Amino acid sequence: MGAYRADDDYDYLFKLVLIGDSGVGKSNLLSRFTRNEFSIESKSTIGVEFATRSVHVDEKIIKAQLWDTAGQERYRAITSAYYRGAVGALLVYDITRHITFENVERWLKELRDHTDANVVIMLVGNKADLRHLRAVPTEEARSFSERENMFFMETSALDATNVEQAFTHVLTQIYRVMSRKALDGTGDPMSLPKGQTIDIGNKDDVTAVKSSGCCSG
Amino acid sequence: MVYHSSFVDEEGVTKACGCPLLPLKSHIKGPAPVSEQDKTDIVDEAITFFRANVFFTNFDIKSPADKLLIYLTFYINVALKRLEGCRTLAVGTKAIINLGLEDIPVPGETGFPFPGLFSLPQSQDEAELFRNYLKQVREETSGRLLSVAYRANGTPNKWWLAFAKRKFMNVVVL
Repeated sequence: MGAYRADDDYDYLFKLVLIGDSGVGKSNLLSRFTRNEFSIESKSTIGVEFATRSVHVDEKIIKAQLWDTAGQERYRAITSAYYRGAVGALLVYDITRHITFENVERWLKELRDHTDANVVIMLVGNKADLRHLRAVPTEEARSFSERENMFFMETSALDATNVEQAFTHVLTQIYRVMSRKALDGTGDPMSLPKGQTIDIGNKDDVTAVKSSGCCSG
Repeated sequence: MVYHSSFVDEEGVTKACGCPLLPLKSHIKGPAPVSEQDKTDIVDEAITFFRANVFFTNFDIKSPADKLLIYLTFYINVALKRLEGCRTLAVGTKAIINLGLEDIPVPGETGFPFPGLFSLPQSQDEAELFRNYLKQVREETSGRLLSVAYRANGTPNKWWLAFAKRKFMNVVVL
């Protein structure tokens, strides 16, 4: 096996980022989806972590590269590198703490400053198992997500409610956006307002590279 | 002959520790003025000149901007050492983000790489201004370095990663 070849077969690699306040459950959502694990210990993420998992959409294998970072300001670093190349985002708040929902607007602004206009965003209300402690009405969050053109789902990383569905839905929508772009025949890179260019189709589609069997290095 | 910075005009440029806080093509938070996207900034120069300048053991300084160029050449060298062994862009990104989390020393503090290159801060405010500028310019440099150190398909560009083995101006990198 060539040193730089992909360690598993896939058709597309999609980078997704998890963002939101500290303690809303970003890391547990990630571990539930990628390893089907939940940790009761609430340790703050320092720096970044990423994990991958492959899913099937329309007979394509999509490898999701999922990035998790600290919500706390003092552990946050290099926002530009974290967001670079992301085609999807899960914006997480905690349904038992209204302040985390209020801060969604700030996270949304940061996300939009650093990503492409076509990024697929899902608003995720986590800790839905804590029904008796609910502080954010579902309808309030749903209305906000519709106004801001985001998808919306409430989840529980603890009991795995909707976790699979949330990630799979975002990945499916990203694939739809890409397919639509391919059908339009616009092979042009999408221009970012900040002057950067991301061509999601070319960058993430490694079929040509795999079929040629080339090995970089 | 080393490559020098073209930012020699200091008219209206804020300074900290004798370093001009030059504009950046960046939307990263910090004290740097925002440069137009179609212009070259000091980070572009540092990356463009890096593979030539890193070979020199002496660097004659022609303008204060060259001091920043020296600092950034050193920083790129440090960053490439962190990227050594990172076989995918994702692993490289994680390494570079962790580098960005480390404390940033300013002149006079332990760990600042070039004693005497910049003047000592005259106040805590000046020290923090310079630290914030260095944080901003380092972050911008890191982001662009990832774009040249890795190919579009996420594999390392060996022509860049090879420079991890160079030592810049005999400064020991831990």
